[in-house]
Amino acid sequence: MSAAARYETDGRAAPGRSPAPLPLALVVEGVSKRFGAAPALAGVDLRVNAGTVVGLVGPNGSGKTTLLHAAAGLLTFDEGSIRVAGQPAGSRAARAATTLVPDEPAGFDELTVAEFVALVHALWGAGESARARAQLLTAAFGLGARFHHRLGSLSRGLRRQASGIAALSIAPALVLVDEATATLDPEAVVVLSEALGALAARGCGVLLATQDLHFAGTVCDEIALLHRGVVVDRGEPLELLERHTADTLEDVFLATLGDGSLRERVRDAFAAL
Amino acid sequence: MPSPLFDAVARCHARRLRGLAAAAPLPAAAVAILVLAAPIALIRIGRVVGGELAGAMGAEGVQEAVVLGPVLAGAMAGAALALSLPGAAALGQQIGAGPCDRRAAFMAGLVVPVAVGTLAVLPSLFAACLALASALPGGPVAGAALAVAAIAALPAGAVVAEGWLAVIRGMRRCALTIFGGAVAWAAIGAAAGSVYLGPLVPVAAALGGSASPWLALVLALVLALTLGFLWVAAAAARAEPRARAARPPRRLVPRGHLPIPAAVAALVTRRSDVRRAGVGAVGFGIAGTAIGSLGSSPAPGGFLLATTTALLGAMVCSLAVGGALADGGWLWRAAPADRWLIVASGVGVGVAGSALPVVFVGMGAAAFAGTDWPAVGVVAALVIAGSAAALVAGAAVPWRGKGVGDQMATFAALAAIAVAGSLLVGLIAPRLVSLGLPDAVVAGVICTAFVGAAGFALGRRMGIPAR
Repeated sequence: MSAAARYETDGRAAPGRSPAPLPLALVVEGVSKRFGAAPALAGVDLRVNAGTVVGLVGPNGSGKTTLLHAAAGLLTFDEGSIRVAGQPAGSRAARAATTLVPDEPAGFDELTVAEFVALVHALWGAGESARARAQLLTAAFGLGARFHHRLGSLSRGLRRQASGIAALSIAPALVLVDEATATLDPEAVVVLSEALGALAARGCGVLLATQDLHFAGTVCDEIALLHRGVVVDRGEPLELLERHTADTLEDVFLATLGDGSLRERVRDAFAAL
Repeated sequence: MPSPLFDAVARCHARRLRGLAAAAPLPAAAVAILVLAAPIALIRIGRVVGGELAGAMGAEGVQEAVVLGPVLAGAMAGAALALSLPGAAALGQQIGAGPCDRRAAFMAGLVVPVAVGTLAVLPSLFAACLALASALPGGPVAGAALAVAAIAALPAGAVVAEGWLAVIRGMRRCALTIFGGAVAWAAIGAAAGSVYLGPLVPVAAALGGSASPWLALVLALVLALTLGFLWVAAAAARAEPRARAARPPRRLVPRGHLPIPAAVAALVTRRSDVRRAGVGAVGFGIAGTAIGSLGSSPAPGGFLLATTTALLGAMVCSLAVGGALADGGWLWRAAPADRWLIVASGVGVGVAGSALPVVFVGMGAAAFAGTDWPAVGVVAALVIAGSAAALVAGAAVPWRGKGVGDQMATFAALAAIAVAGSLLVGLIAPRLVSLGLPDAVVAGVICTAFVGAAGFALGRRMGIPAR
């Protein structure tokens, strides 16, 4: 039995991928987290099946990054439980089964791209296959010419590409991507979407946070709408559009999480100035 | 009325330090109590040392040495601080692009960390100097002049460092002005009797009772204020580093995996602030060797002067480790690697990185000024304990290398920890020796305790819970 097959299952199949019940890469149950008096997460429930890409969508400050960091074991939570590939989040086994592409991959400016990737591979004990994937991703992102440049000399978008190469090449049970498309150029977004799809196809679960609703609609098998630390709605992109009788995910977002008349109100307010 | 920028930057620093203290209240309280208690112990130590020196204070060489020690230490600390401060980028792009006065911005970044450093160091410095001088012919006022001279040396060292930066960044006028100031310092000193002490010669004479202590105090105060203003002016006018063709760093990836110690070493030692401080440490160490060799002090005086001066600058490497690990915490803490290995790598890099310039300077000093094995042992213990104290300070108040005041705040934490650590060692070590333990064993125990504390502090910074 493979490691992936030992996970918990929820009896559902990934949309359009496999008819068999899927193991769960991530199970979040009733997770709450407060920063002082401010609640960041307020009883979040979420599941990411192996082989699926789940998008977290929500306003700034809705708790997306907090949830990703809790799943990565970077911060503890006050209530609830998070299991990664069947292991408690933050445990060594769970960390071995998770990689994170952060919003800002800070702190390694003095390492070259090659050294950073090699460090991540050393930390995760990655093998030859990871190195092959890293080479493939480096070529796809077009970072080959800068492979021996220091991260600190690169733009933020290129640093995020380097971080993506390192994290995605590990291909663990769960891949977490924060602000997936932020600062990436259109070509890099294409590479990222294909890479995430390929990882899902080989059984990885992917949880990504994004504000790019087009990207979410294209890449994600399922979208969870997070608002004030609570998942207020979730479903496949088409399912969400049908449920909200909307043409675009932006309309779904505004109807569910925001103000449906926001655009008109702001336009009128500025016009009146 | 302070400007909005001054107010905002000061508020940021105050909140940051308050948050760091709140995150580790017990260690912060323990250090605060020890820092408050340190002056009492230093009064006793100062009186004892003063009593020992009183008979020899008639000699000009002894007067000079009593002032030169703290002045050189202050100058090295100032130089290390100046070399590690960022330039105009410290305010960030958005505010930095605004129409703000660079001097006001620089001052704003310094005010809170300087206040914290003042609270940490000044009571101990004045207690030691006043007690020392009260047993000397000059009396307590001369002791106050000695303390102010040590404070004045801090901006003096910083101005020298700014001069060096001006040379390498092509600011000829600034470099020439500072060089002219250094020549004037030496000329005044030569006329007064000591090239190194320059206008601070009256302080040495006042300690020996051959000059007015009040005059020495006023001179030292004026010098401290003047040098402080000069430092702010030079730092605010500092040019950004010249753009150089990117040179690929030495490759560290033999077989696709980068070992954790190599990664930590690269992260810390490739930083420009650490490199600059390392070079500065070697420069000041060479100056210390020259002073020791040219002076009349017997061996191993020159060796000790050179190595301890170099250590003050070299400790920037240890100070930077905590911040480097904290900045990359998102990866270190998410990785399934043994966190203690990461911490051990940080401790090893900090101690080795601080030791390297000292070893370099020490070899030269031993060759030119002479030394003996006990002195080498003392310096080795100082390097280990000092760099471990710097690691603790860097973990408690991470050295971020971004804001102007960040480095000052970390230096202030180092000063507080050094004062507290010295007090603890002063209380414990004599008792261990009186129990019959050999000096080397006692030194080993103390170094082990310091290194253990450094590991614990870095472990806390890495999110390893205390058992």
